Amino acid sequence: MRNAIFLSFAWLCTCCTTAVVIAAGPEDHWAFRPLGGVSEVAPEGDLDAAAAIDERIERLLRERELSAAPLAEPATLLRRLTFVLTGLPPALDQQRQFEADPSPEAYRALVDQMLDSHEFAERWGRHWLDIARFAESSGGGRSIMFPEAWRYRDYVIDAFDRDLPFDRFIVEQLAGDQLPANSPDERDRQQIATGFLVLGAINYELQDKALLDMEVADEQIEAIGRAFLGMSLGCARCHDHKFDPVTQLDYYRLAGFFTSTKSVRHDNVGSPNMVPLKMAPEVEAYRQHSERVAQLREKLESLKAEKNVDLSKEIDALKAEIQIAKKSAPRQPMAMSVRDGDEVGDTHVRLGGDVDLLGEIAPRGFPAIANPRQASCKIPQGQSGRLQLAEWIASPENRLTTRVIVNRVWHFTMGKGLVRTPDDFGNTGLPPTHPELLDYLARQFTEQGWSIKTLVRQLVLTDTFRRSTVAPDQTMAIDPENRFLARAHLRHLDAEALRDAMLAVSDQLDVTRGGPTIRKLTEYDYGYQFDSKRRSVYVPRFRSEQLDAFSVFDCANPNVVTGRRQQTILPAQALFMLNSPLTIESSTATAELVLFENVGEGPDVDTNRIETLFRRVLNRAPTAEEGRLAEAYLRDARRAPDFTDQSVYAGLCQMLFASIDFRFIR
Amino acid sequence: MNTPYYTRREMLRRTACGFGGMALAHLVVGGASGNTAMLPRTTPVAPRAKRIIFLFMAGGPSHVDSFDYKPELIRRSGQSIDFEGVRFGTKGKMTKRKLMAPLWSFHRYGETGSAVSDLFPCIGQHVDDLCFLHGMQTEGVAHGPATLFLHTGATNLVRPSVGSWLTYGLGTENQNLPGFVTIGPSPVNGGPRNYSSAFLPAIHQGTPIGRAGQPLGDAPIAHTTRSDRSTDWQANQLDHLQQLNQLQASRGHFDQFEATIQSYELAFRMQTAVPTLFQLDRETEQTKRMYGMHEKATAGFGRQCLLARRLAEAGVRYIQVNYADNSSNPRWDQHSKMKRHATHALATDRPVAALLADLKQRGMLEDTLVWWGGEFGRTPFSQNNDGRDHNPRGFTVWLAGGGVKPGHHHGSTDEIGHLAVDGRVHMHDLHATLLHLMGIDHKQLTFRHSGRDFRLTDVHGRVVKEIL
Repeated sequence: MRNAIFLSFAWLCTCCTTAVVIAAGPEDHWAFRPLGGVSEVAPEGDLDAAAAIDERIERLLRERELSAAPLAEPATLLRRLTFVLTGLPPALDQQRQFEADPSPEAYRALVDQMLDSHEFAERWGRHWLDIARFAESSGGGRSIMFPEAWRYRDYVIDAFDRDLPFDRFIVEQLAGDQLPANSPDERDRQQIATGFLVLGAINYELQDKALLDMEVADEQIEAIGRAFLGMSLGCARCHDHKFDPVTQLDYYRLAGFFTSTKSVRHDNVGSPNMVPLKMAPEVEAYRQHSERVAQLREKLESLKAEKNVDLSKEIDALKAEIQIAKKSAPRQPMAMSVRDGDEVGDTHVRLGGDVDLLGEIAPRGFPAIANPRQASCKIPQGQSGRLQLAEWIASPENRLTTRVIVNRVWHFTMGKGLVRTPDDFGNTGLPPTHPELLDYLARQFTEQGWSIKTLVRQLVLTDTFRRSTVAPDQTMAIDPENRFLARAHLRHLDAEALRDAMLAVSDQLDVTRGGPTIRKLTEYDYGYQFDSKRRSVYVPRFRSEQLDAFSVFDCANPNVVTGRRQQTILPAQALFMLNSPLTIESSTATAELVLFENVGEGPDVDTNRIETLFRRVLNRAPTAEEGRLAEAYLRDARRAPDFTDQSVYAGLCQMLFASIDFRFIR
Repeated sequence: MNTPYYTRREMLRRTACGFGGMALAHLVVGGASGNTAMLPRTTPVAPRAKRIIFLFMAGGPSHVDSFDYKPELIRRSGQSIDFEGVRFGTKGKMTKRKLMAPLWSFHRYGETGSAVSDLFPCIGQHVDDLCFLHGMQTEGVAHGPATLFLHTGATNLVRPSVGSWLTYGLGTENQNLPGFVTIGPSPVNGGPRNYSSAFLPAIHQGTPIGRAGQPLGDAPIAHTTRSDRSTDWQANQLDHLQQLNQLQASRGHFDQFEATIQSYELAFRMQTAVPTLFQLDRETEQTKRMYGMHEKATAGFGRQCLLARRLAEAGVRYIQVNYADNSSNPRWDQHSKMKRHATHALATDRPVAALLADLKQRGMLEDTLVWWGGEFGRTPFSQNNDGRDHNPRGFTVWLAGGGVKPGHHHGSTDEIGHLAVDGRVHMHDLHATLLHLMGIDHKQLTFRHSGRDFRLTDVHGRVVKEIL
């Protein structure tokens, strides 16, 4: 086994260039083909819609003679549902209520309640922020801070809260600056949305600015390709794509949209383009301040004009006042945003990807793969054409876009996508396990008005979602990877949910919504000290500094589009659970709560406390064996010379946080 | 084997191409009994080196003031010459610049008679063990891009670091310790990206020990100690935790559960091993003096170098020792006041020489490759009267041990030390050579990501056979 790695490449390397069959044209690869099936009448309600999905899953199970797992126990299901929809654990009273009445009606009511909650938007907004490679600094050489990036984060959360139709969501992010607005508010919002284009990891220190502009365009093309089309388009910068039918010409046709867009401000160390906002709450303060400074200046000028020596003291005082006012100036509210460039037009193919080696002119247009009808791109004179590009991506005709988004929603709801490589629908990705279902969902999605919430509701109402993670042995043996969904996928509790849950369980979570959260603005992100108790989605995300809980538990790499995170099990995580301030403080605080709720002494009191602790941390009652083990731990811990009730319960609580049933979602 | 992240199918897809793919096949969950990702692997070609210690001189030490002796530069000092600009605003333009002689005199050392300036009298004693590359070239004119290029082979794109590639290819020799460690890394000029695994599996991420600008503390690896509880207390808790985990794991047999249980065992072993490793006081008085730990100027970097030796002994695969700080204008970056180079030379000369001597006396220099260098060199002409600008087009690094020719000089810059003219070694070539010395063909070490196979050397890189 140890040598296998080296012995094998003798034959493997020879197939480097030939192992993967290169698709010759759009129709040769499943993802580029038209949606299968026919337009069906949408099922009446969400329950019927869920049944239609189950039927498609069960058909394949029957064909393979796989028996489906039973539905999960109420406590397991409630924990799963709550984390999936809100990223938080269920409350104690919710647990008791649902265990008392786990009826389908009660379940549906819970689903509706959670979908309506702001916590849903925070949870699902975070998913999109992964895909949008969101961060609040540039990374690269000097990792400059993006003090206004939070506005994009809040825009995304708001979009999920309002269930903004996904096609609209696409257009706003790619060309919000080009859309008509009914109000200054809407104009601001759309301007903020285009932050998507300038949030990427860019080394603004690059000295060759022609190269910098092309790097930015390249980053945008790659992000858009991955996020919306599940395709790597950046690959064709230097030569035709090796594995997918994307040519170098296609690439520079796309590049023209972005070389016609103003995204960067040039300087020795450059920065993303910014646009002033009109309606942000801070605007008024900024306006008043500017007015005041202007008035002071006017006064100063008029005094100076009098040329009266006696006024010199007054003039000096005025000057000082202006200085002080300038220092305390509120920041002008701005958004990271783009606009059409001063020069718009097609760009050249760059030979071998070298910015200085110009090839033929590449007329702006859509890549052939996802443009079977050869829709031409009619760009109004003097515009970048980004709006036309956005509308093309967001068109129901665009089979990649709809397949990619419904698969993403499936992935976040079920734990794994029907296409297990949600960011890669090309030849290097995996084909769907249920192609017919994927296409069915894509059709329904556009017909239901591109509503994310509707799709999520239908998915969590399915039996497929509600099954146990454990299927009969034979099924487990035949389908260990659970490709056919006879059971629910086991999931890791991800970084944000893990941290938020520990803070929530110990009653430390600060649930304030939105707004700027970078505590101390500096030029660069280095050495930032995190001290927030707010939900993880609001903890500043930097490219050079991460909250340790995030980096240890596989949070998304903000440098690339991440629709599926890594799921590792590493000693660093175990060390974190054993020794980090977060686990220790949360355990201590939880112990205090539990002791406060169950006063007294004696074995019964311990039994009650243990039950409360299990319910708080693992969202279920302990099994008999677990109860005995917990009691044994308490006995042992009380042998220590300087124990207190608080210290032994904190120790027990930490054990529960570190245990399998906290770190995984069954 | 069941893998939660890569399905078997996907793995086969990824393994369709090359060696990297197979390395991935060893990556199961990570941390499990089957945490084979980090198991040491043998190579088809016998490696000359088993580990690398990289002494990173952040900011760009001046080659013409240290190891690249240019009599012509001394002779013509003060002359004005046209140089082509490379920076924002001056790119492609010719500007007159004044040549500046080195500020330190050079002396010949050792049997090879290699010239070293008075900046490095201690390293000078070791020239017969060193292999100089005088014709180095790299990408990036500013610190950020060039530093990233040095570490990852790319100025802007997010790529894995050299150390990550190495542990990905080779695993590591001590399963209780990380395979890739960076001592006192700078948070700037790329920061964590310089030791990041990028798209490689997370287990190949470099583990930072301390950070630049702060003295090396006693608990430098994150979360390896708990001060408010005794080891016995923790052992008892762990014992009960593992029993609880066993109970929970019995409800549904998943590999991830077994991996989790194993990860706690390994974590506890790491927790025990790490503090011992950091007890530098256990070293003899003589050793500590040799590294300069008794003197203020050398104590900081001396501790870092001594720790590097201990990590090398313990089986860590790739150890980077950073002479860096936490400012965007790093230590060796003397755009003015070149004489400040003396401070940095003083801080590093003795510890580096001690490390070489120490490795040699322990018989470790044979299979340990030491690499000394910055992200670029400096210009032979002056800037701001008494400083020098960045020079990525010609500079010197040196290697020692690990299968390179001792007492050897390869390549050269022009007569004033500006451009590499002979025996040019691009940073990609150096990367290829490092991998080669560790027994890896840089063209075979690949990872499938984003639709194609990636390498440390991209589509470049030539092994510098002349120095083997």
